[in-house]
Amino acid sequence: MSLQALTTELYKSFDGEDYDKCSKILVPIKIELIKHNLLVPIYNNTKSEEQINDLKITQKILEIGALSSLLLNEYEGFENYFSQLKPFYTNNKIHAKKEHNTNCTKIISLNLIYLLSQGLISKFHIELENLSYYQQFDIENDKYLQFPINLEKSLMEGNYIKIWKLLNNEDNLPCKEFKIFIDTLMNALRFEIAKSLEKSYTSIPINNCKNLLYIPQEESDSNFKQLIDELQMNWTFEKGYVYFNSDDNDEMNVDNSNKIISDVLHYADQIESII
Amino acid sequence: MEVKEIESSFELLAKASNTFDNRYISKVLRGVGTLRKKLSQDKSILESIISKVYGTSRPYLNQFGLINESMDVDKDEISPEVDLYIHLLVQIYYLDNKQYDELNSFNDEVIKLMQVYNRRTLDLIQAKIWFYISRTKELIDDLLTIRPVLTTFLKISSLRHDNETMGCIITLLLRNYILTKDINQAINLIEKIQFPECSNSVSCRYYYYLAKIHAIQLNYSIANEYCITAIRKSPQTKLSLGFLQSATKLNIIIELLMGDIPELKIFKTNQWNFEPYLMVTKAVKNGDLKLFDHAIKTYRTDFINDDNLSLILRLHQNVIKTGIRLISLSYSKISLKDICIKLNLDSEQSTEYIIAKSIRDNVIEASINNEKGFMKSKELLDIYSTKLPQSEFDSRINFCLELYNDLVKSMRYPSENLKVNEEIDDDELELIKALQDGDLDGLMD
Repeated sequence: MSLQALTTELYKSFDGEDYDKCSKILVPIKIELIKHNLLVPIYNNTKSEEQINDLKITQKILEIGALSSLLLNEYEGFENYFSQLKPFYTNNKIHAKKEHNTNCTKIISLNLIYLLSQGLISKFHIELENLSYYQQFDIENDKYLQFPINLEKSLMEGNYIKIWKLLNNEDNLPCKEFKIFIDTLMNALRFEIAKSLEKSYTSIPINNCKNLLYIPQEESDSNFKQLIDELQMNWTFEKGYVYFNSDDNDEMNVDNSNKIISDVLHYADQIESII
Repeated sequence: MEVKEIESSFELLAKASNTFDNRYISKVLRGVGTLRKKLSQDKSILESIISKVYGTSRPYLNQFGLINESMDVDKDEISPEVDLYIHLLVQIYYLDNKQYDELNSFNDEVIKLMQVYNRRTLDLIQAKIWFYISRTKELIDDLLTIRPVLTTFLKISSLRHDNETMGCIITLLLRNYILTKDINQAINLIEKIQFPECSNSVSCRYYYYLAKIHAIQLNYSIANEYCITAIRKSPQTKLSLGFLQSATKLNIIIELLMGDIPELKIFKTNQWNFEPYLMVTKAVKNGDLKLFDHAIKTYRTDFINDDNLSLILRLHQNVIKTGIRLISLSYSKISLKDICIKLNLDSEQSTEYIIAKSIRDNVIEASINNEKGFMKSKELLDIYSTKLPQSEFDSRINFCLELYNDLVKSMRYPSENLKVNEEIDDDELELIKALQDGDLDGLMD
């Protein structure tokens, strides 16, 4: 099949929400794109108007690839497509104008949320820093880009209730693709909260604990226990209370003498070499 | 007169190429700073030097060499050191006179020339030349094309053990990456290379960039260490003031991000404008969110110019945290509702989460009672009953020992045969005296 035919096929199945088919068609398309030297924007293929238009089509194809692999929950595939799209987004010939609430910022923002949901905070910041270099992105006024930024801010502050509200109401989400991440984000959020709870309380009634972790009250206690175990927390349950086993403080003083001895020996060694 | 000065430095360069002693070269390069002003004002100095040395053998230098074309100079072999030194002077001339396009095309010739020469004595001069090449590209806003050239020469210089050149190129590459915010690339570079031993002015830059990169990655304590090293290593002269200033600014932010409050005396130096940073520090210290937002609004452009805005914005959470810390220090028991009101937070529930998070991050030592809804601070520990003083003491002793060892290593002992030859001895003395005059090879620009 020719490139054109494949592309129309792809558009059709994407609009028809047949994402499995999309990912199947994408493989031959990419090979065709490589043959036509269109997969990567470089200096030589961004000279004329026509070439840029061709590349814009490539970009669209890749965007479909990214979105459909997201919708199929294939995060690795999404990562791949994103790194292929990055050169397009940062090329000032293809994206000469300001990008405001477009597909492009949407995908970037999805990538940022992906990084957050995986707990890769430092990568998140590197990516953000990189965006600030390019003139075409209006980070502060873009509804897509603002979403992950606010999310990160509340996460770092510990203002979990804000995130909860944000995630729970679908009207707050800038577009439907963000829904994919809600579950992973929710789990990440629970894990963060559980970690904080462990440190701040000695014990807490089970019902209150459910509340804090945003687990519905109807959930039976045994299910709740199972969930806690999934989070790999070392908690004990007794008489309607949860007890947190914090035992990290006592270990500190055990092996102290050995350290002092080795330190002092080290000083003696050094002083000897000086004299 | 300046012509003579330059010519006398040729002698030193010749000496360096005969004895393979790089110290003569660093002496010459130190003279460049004072020479620079006169050189860039008066074109005739370069003209006469170039026509004397080259005659007409270098077409691309014609702009300078046209005066006495007829003079057929004794065309001795020009030593590589002298050759590159003159190129360096021409670069400086162009740069100071803002002829960037000429400088850019001239740089291409210099790069070709450097590919031909292969001598260890060129190390120091080459490092300077690379600095100016990269600076040119920065000024004409063409940061991408220089990268492959720099990486090729990084390879060459590391193979040849040209430490100074290698160090300089590494810092230039890092700067390049940071300017275009390609932090990932910079991280890759740092992981793959081993920074060579080279002069302080180069290595302090390297540490500054490391600090910056680590700060972006949220490794604040590592970043802080590098930043302090950079400030300590930087030469304390007028030429390095700009560098010191931006390093200090970075240091202030990193300290704030770590939850420390920088000392007031840093802000007190009158020569620098630290006003924006002082305001932010005040806001963080008092845990005052309103003041913080106000400071960011007022000094936004300052922060953008310093390229620190994104780091400053991260301080938002620290402001809240110091607020919590202040409360936990002053009350032994306080209800969550009161905290919520004091800190202007949205709701009691969010207060509970935020406090739980700060307890987890070791900002405060406290516990929360969920049923009754209050926070109880833990009794202050007697610090001397822990092993903290011990480890602090240990790190200081180790620092002193390391300092001593480094000093021993860097001392120079007179070699045996110098005593035999008194003439060289005199030279040596003079050179050492010149070098002791202070670490002047500062940071130009």
